[in-house]
Amino acid sequence: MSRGVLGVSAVAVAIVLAVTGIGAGPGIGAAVGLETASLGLVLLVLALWRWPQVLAPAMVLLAVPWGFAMAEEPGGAEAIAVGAGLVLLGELGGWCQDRRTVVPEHPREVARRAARTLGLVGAGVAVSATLLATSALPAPGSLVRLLVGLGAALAVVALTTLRRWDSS
Amino acid sequence: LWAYTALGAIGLVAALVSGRAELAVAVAPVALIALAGVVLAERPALDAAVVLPVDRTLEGSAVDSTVAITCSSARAVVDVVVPFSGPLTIEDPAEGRLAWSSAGGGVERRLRLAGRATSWGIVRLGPVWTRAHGPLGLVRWDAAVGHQKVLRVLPSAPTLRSLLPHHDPRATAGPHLARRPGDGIEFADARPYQPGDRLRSINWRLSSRRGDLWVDERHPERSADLVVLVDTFADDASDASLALARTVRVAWMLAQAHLAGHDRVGLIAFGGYPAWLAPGSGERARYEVLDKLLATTAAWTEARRSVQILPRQVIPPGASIVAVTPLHDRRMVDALADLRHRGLAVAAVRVDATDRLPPSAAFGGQVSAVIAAAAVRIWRLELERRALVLGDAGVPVVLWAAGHDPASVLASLRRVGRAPARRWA
Repeated sequence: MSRGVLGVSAVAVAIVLAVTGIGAGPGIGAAVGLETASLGLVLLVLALWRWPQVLAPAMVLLAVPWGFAMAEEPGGAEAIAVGAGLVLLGELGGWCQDRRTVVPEHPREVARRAARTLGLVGAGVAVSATLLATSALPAPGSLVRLLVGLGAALAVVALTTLRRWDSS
Repeated sequence: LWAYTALGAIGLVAALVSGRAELAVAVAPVALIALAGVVLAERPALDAAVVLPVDRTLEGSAVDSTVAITCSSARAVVDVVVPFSGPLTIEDPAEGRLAWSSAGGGVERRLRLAGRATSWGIVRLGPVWTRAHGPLGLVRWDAAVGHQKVLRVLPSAPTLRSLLPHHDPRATAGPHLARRPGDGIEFADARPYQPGDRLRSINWRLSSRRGDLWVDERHPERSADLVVLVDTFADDASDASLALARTVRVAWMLAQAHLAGHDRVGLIAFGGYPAWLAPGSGERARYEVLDKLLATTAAWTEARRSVQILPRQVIPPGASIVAVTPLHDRRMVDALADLRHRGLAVAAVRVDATDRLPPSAAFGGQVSAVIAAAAVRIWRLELERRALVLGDAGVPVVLWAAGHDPASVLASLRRVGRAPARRWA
């Protein structure tokens, strides 16, 4: 699939995420969300065009409007949809960046990559739904919940950074 | 990967701080993908090599090769790029680039590489650039593996039907007739018998007519030294030379024919980067001349160039020098005249490359077709004037225009060489 199609698709997903997030947020959150999402959109375009390093801040900034919205008025279905949207945005962005190569992409590989993208989005929806259902269950005291949550958050960063790999 | 990691970490911390499970729900998929992508990633052991069945071929020939890849992970997606330089046109892969994506091909994978050698020169393939993708495509490893392979594309020069004459051959046996009589095959003269002459030299038919004994004299066959001087002056500062490809083709044709005739052949690349090869014979000299010719490049220089820098052994006494040149550079004219003034036998093949001049449209409409045609005519006149200057200096010059059979052009050089002025000899 061409890089242009993938880039436009990623930008479209980002715009949908930002616009719905700004629309769902409260007044002050919407104003801040508008600014961060705009900056995130610019960074996303730059990441897809030339500087892949700025994809991480772009995705974080694009998720800010929905962060404000969910902190103010939480909604389970919206959270699942946002999770799926973020995965879709990340996959399309990564795919677009991978196409900055002389290696041709054959239809079989396009189908394979598209299937993987859809599978990850589907798996993300399943994970989010499971987590949402689990969060409704009665849990021990707030301190235990805080520690477990903190441990989960740290595990993501720790495992990612401590693992010895030499990815480019 | 970093986008997923940052988003997951920030979202989870925000969920903890705000106490909203929905924030964790939203970022949990990206956090899990990042985790899975890193935890499942194992660097595969990769090895790759370009497999060339031959190390030399003729220009215009098909080049069929493979890229052999060994990957420890049978399911890993491996991107392969083989950088290449030289006169090679890629036919397979169809995109014209040596780049493949090899997915799920097993531990041993073979990728076909087919092309055509468009001109003489050296084709360098590799080393192979590989990129292995980890699970979920979040981690990848880049490496250059294998060694560079070299394919020498030989000029497909037509075979010469005869060699250039040498009037001062060496003492060793060869294809050229020496002027001094001696043992040989070619009849030279007959003279009265003298004591010591061999009986097999007696010409019985002539002796019976003359009434006394007469013997035949013959020309001994001797080898000779030929030094091919290749003009490597660039036409402009971008190191471009319109005539270099043709020049080297003619030089190789001459060298090949004379080496096959057991002559000693030397080579001088005279131009931007002067280089030389002392005359030699046999297979070793053939390969040395070929390597030197294939590595010949034009280079722009404004420095003074003189044949005085050449070592003595490059042009042995009695050697003939044939310069292959488009005469685009005035310094080449001076150098050939200088060699001739030193008493050496010098001739020149003028390679015409005016058909390769860019059309007037290449100048963005700034030059009209009429002016461009006039400029080409003036340029041709200047080249002819330079050839006349060389002729006056005693260097015969023959023209090789595009489409002419080089062998017939060199045959005309033989005729020029026998001209009464004896400039060639």
